[in-house]
Amino acid sequence: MAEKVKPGKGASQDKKEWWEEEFQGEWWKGVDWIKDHGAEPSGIMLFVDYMLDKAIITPDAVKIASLIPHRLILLEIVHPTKGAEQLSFMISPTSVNPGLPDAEPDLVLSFNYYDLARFLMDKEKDFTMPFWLGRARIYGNLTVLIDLADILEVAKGKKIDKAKENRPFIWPVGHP
Amino acid sequence: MSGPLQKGKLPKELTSEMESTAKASQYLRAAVRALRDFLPIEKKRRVWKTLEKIFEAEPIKQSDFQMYHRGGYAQSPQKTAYQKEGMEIALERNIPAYQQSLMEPMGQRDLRSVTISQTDIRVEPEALHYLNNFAMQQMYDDIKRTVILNLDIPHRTIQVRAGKEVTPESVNQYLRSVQHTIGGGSILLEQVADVDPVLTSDAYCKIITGNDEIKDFIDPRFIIDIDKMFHESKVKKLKEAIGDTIHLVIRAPTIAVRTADAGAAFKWGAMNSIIAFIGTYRLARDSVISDIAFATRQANVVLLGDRGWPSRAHAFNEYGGIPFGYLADICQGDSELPAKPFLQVALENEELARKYISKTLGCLSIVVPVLSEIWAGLYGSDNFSLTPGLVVASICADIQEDFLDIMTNLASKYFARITRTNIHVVPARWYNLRWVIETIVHEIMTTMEKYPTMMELLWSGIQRTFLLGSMAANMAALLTGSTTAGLWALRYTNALLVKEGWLRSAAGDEMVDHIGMPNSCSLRLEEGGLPELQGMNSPANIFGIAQAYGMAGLGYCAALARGDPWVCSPIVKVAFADPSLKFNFKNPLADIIAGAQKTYKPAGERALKKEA
Repeated sequence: MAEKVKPGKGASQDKKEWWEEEFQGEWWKGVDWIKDHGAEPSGIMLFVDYMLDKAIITPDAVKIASLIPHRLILLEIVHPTKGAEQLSFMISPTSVNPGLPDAEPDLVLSFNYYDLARFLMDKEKDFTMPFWLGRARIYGNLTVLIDLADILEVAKGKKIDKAKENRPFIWPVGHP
Repeated sequence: MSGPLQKGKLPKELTSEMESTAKASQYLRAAVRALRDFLPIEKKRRVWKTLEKIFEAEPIKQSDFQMYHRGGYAQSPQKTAYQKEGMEIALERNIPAYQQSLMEPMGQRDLRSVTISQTDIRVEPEALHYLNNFAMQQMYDDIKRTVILNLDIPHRTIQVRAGKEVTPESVNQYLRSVQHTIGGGSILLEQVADVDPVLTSDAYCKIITGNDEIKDFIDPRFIIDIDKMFHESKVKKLKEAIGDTIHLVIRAPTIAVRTADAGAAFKWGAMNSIIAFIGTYRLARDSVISDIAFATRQANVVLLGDRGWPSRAHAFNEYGGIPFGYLADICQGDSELPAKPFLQVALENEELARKYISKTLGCLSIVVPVLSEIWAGLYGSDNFSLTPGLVVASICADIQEDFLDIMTNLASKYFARITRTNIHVVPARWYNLRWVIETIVHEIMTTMEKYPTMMELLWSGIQRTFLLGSMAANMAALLTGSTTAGLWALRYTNALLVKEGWLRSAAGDEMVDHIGMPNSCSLRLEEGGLPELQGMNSPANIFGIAQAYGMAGLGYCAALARGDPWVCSPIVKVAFADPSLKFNFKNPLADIIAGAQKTYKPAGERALKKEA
């Protein structure tokens, strides 16, 4: 007689999400630009720490940001277990504020906390990849996402010329 | 007290509203100024160059100082020639005929010939009307006159019921016999009248098989050779799908379908293929004939189109009953390209990706609009001369080509990156696609608004919704490999985005059925069923001729995304790879241009035979 399978012990129960396999233990402790190593940083702190320690002090990132028209972006960073955080990010002039913006944003981005961490920690070079893969959501003007990706990717070492070359011909850097 | 309003004396609610309006206007003006900075990019666009040539002016020019001073129909050499011919006809028959003076006073519009996309050839819109362009008629005739019979069951019946041996020699003898009977030649009764072979010179039959041994013993003149007609990566898949079976592709004479209707092709093909069996296997006066007749003409037949409804086209093989998936399979532009997932191609080489698009959608965007013209013109509303507009929108002035450039560029620069993670299609979820569709559609709508000259060519809302819906549907299907996702995009664009941008008027109003998105996922028969198997006789599509190209395109693009060599039927795909067909389904544009230039020679002409 075949052995009965106990409910709740199926193979699907044991399957881990991709972020559980990639981000194990106290992963944040080895990252130099994260300031508070006491606990897993919030999504907002992760982004702010990176912007302050990396992007704003990278001359090329500042240079490409200066070519981009005024943009207001609402970033929704969704942690799989802790919930969502909102962050208002403005380009030209640059400002980062927690919470919802006081005007209608050009773009709303909603993406996984660990996708952001992956990108900021150089595990993924392409900021936009989660969006093409269908793991993240976009509402609004696509050129704004490309602008944001250009700034963040140039801060991580991408050349400005390469960033310009990678843009769609119809929307070069600075296109409204 | 009257006089100009003074800001200080107005209530605060109103002044704050005025200020916010002024701010919004300033923002808009700033955006327009910023767009002007990008004029050099606009000038590099394909559509700018072509429209500039056609209108001999800057395509974004807003003013027209010639309006009402153009001379009406006399601007058009073709209309002028028609007027002269109309007068001659009237004098000859003593009944008034074509007469431009009956028109409303004209002259405000700029009547110009248009350039065929990717060429310098200019034609007048009249040359793209299906009754003026014989190549268009031949295209439809070639579809209508095709019937595919499976020969395995009749061969088995001949062996078992008639006790005859089927050998390679007898199969070849049968194929020789059927070439004689299909053109109207008699086999059994010598006193019956034969048809003049000159009139039916386009009638013939060929074999399709996936088995190389069968192919080897059949006379190569009677084979549609899959090995020669398709890229090697497609050959294996097609042969596996078709298998060891033998299909007989019958091309009834064009003159038969033009004299009767497409249903005649089935009767003609079935009867003449049975007679060839009777002649080859000497079956006369034998009761087994009825079994062989059934096995040949009923047991396993592939008709291109199902019956339509009686008030329109009631026969088989008419456009209304042809599934959209078959329409995509009829197109052969992509036959020689490797069967590879599109995003993988796009990552490797953007130019090659553009070639894939040109060869697939480039082919389909001729076949479907032409058939839609005929459908709307003859079956739907009779001589509805608006419909050449669809062909103008799809193959003229590089308009669609320009939008396809943008679509391919986006797919190559961004979406193709996912193939690095061993994923070849974007997951078919609505939130993955909504913003892509919105981006593409907004870009096209913005372009149309920026270029008044483009709107001169796309003067009907049906042309604009035709382009918008199809581009959205094709993009969604191309990314996901899912026809249902393509259908979401088509419905979302036509039912919501077009109306959101332009309200119901101008474009939205001309979509007869504003089909909502939930309908896209429905498999209930009255709502359509599987997208590939829907046709113009599906209730929601009857009058939606602007949707037909999108509906067929989404199937084609989904197959392209998955790297599949066919959309709906490998048999139909191979049947139309036949180089002996009168119309060129591999490069339909060449034949359509020949038709427009009056150099195309169609089949089925009654005046072909010169009497001695």
